[in-house]
Amino acid sequence: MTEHVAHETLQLLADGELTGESAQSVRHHLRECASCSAVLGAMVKFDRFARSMPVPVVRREFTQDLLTRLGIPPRTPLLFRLIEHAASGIAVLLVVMMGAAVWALIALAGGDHAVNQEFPGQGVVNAAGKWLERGYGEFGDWLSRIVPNVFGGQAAKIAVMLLLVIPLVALVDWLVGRNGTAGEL
Amino acid sequence: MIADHTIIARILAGDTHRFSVLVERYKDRAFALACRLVGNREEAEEVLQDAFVKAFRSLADFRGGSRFGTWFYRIVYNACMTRVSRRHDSVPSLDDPAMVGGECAVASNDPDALERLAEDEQHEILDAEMQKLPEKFRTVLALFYVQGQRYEEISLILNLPMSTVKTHLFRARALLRNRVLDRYNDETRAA
Repeated sequence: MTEHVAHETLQLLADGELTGESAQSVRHHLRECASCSAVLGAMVKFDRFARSMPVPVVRREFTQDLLTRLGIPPRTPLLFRLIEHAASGIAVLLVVMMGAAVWALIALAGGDHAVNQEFPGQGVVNAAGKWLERGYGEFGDWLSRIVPNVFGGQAAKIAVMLLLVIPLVALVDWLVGRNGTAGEL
Repeated sequence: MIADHTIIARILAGDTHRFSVLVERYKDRAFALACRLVGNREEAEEVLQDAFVKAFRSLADFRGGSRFGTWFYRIVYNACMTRVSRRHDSVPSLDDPAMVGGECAVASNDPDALERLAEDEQHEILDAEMQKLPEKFRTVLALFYVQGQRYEEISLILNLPMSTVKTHLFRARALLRNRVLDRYNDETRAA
């Protein structure tokens, strides 16, 4: 190839869009032609410069605004979602804890012996505890050892019961929520 | 990274939250394209919202014959064109001889001229001159430079023959290059 290469062809080569024999032929010419090499160099430089242009970025709230417009509920981080799903279970836990705290205060006000007295609903807790001990076996025993021995030794069983209840409520909540959004599309 | 078609299958199966993954994946590049085509951030964002809404509602029609990006950028492009045509802008025609004539010569007489400009100044001039180009030129340049699309993808997005894409890209770049260098020369003469 003795004539100069068409600029359009050089541009194709610079863009990697020229292949095979055509590309080989142009490359061979470039080795001998300073003029075409300079043109190609200018093209490559300009492209590199144009590609380095700062790219505008959409504002951060864009995705959330869009999802709201589409009626898709916001997607919260995993931890928050777990807490959200477990909200009912946590509410039950809080009520029980408040009840326990009130009972403990009454017990403390009545002297040490009061701790070992029967408390309201102890029969239910005992029955649940026995069921859990059967179900959990060694895990229940281990928990009984590490949880302070209050409420007549039933605290560990209450804790196990709550550990069961919270994920169960979370699972039901998640299933209901999932079915609720399935029909949106 | 989860593949686009897997995410789309999950969205169609009811896990609509997954659409946010696609939005996060494509919003910035699509926004850059929209900015180039409509010329300002506010309108570009509105157009992009409309494009995503349309994509979400038409997701079941996406057959997977092409990449999701190609399909989506086409929606963005069409939304931008609708917006621009509503303005009744009188952009110079691509067939205008002034646009495709002498100005399209490759500016190779001073290849290092750009390097003598400060980087910010270079970008400012390039941005301004790119904005003045006819819409068809701006579109191919945005897809090529900002999106990093290859000729074939550009051809699919714009629904143009490959030969037309090649010609548009060549002319657009030559025109832009010359205008940027002319502007540089004007400014250095004035200084």
